Amino acid sequence: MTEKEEVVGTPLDKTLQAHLGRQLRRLFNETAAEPVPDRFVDLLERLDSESPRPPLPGQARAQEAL
Amino acid sequence: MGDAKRPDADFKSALLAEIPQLRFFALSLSGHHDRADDLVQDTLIKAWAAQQRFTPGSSLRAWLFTIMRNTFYSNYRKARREAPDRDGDSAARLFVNPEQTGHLDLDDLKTALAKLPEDQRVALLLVGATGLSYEEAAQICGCALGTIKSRVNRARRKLMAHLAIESVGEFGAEFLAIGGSLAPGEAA
Repeated sequence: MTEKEEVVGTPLDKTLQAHLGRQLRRLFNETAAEPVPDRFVDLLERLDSESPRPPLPGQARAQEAL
Repeated sequence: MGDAKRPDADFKSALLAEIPQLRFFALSLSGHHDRADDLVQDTLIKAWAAQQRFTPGSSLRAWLFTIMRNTFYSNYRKARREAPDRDGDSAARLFVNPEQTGHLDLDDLKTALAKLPEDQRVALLLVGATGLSYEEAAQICGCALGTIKSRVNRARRKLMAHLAIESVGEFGAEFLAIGGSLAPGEAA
């Protein structure tokens, strides 16, 4: 609630906060390092092949009229 | 260069490149892998359909995270309320992929994250783990900058208290003092 909470005061706090920051980054890296599942690669391929080419701005209105 | 890459082919590669980040954010929101990957899939489908609304040059990641968060709150959270986890059940699953063994020393962090209120956990992970700015996190969560800062600070202090206790062996007993000093200010 108070601004006071924003301040990390003591050196111990700073050490802990740096430790926490490293742990959070490692958690992120651990997840991000997992290979992308095939289902997502396949999904994007399918979306790309199924969807009509996005109309150019000038053509959008003509398509909406159909 | 007559055969320039099609714009939607670029968009496809850009989406593909964001999938690891999307999976992480989906885990931050939903808490376990199966539901997280369904959330990623729904987000990709919506993003593809809405790609003309994406402003080139702006942050694709922030745009995708916004779609994901909206999707989560309109579809997934409702389902979870209807089938509430037993106490501690979701905590055990958060970020834990049953098919892979992660770093054992991150288990404490995962457990502590699972115990945080959802809005605080999401704010902390957006800013502290994915490296987004406070401004982007506020935009994604649809709240004021000050609210995000407050959530991040509360989450951080709770986790620091938790890690302080876990880290006594590593850093020394004085860390216990920090854990003890946090309690009065926290209004849960």
